Amino acid sequence: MAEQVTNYKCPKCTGPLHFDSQTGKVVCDYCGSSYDPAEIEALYRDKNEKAAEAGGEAAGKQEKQEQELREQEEAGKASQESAQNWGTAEGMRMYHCPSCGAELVCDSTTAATSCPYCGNPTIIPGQFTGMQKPDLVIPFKMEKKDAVEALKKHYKGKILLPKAFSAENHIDKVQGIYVPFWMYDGSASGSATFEATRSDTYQSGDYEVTETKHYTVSRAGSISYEKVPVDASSKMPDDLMDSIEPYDYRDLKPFQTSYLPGYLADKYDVSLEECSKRADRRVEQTLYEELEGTVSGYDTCHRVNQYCELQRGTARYAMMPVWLLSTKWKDKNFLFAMNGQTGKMVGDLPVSWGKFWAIFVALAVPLSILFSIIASAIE
Amino acid sequence: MESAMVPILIAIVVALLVCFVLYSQMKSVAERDDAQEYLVGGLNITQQSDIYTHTTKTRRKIEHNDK
Repeated sequence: MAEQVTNYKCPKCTGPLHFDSQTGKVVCDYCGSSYDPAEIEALYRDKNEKAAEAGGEAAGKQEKQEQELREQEEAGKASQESAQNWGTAEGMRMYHCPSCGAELVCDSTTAATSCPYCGNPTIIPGQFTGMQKPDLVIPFKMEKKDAVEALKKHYKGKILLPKAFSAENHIDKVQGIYVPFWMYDGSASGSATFEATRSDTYQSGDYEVTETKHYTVSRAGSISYEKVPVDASSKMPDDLMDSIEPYDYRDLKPFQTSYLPGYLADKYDVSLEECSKRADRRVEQTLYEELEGTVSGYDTCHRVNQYCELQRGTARYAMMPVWLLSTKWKDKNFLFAMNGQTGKMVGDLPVSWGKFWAIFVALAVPLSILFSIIASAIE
Repeated sequence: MESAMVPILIAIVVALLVCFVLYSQMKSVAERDDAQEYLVGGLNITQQSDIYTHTTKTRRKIEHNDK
């Protein structure tokens, strides 16, 4: 099989290279030499292009093999052995590690990984060619130890966290991943109508009178937006990726594969069109909130009508740094994510219902006694 | 009897409120439904109107405590 993957090797000693989040350089694991990502990118450009071509051929061969297997199965001739092979091939790709020659079985979207045998960071340049080449990347700034530390902080001060969870808990996996995102530019214009009221209360004889004036309030306007991010990987939970926002876009750089060694990376598998629905929803909601924000001087205000028209602009494909930490407790998986640039950590924690009700009783009983004493004193 | 229940009810509500604040601290993952951080230059208002439609009145008899 032709070589389809690349191990970035040190030009001085041929040791494996990885991207160092602290220095922003590509560093040799053995001799410690450091290089600018652009320098390594230029060195490997030709090699990557050749690998991409070979990758295309190999993918074609694989598709052919899959087709053959399908035909065999349909004809009822597939042996047990070939049926097992089909199970492995479905949605998977096979590569050879250029360092140790081991066979790497990867998901069809995998773009960067590490060899499970020799541990060398491995890039699959064929995943980043033509339309699949990302425009931008935010390099990692946070290290693995920062992610572990942030998770410990995340547990701190959580009174309802079961003691056993943090005590027994060991993190099963900590992975630095470049997650594919689409970023949308554009503008939105629209209008909204609100029903608003202003109330005045006064006393008239034995009666308290409340006079409420009703208004119909209309607002129309437009907003422009830039780089609204939507994660383009079906494997990544959308709510988890939304929760680690925002990224600081001042660190956005033109994409280079030399930022990837040492991390995992996936190419997008949710299309630009499909993801745009989520971006549109967010922009529409923001327009209505902005319009509502201009309605002032009323006691109540609620939206009764709304209209929005979107003008889509440029869309960019970007790779964003995420640390994923996973753990299992009482047969349930817990997934935490940390923004690999800002260090923002998110992840839902288990709740001890025993503690919940104990705190409730511990508060409700003394408060009942206290309020009863106050009430009788007032009477 | 009814007035004796009021402080207990208030205590239960306060205790539940505290417990739900603690519960909300355990949840940090939610889908975003706005894009506030990505706006460029803010809202450009093109039209606005505030039209008065009508007035409603409600009356409540004030109860005097003659104790």
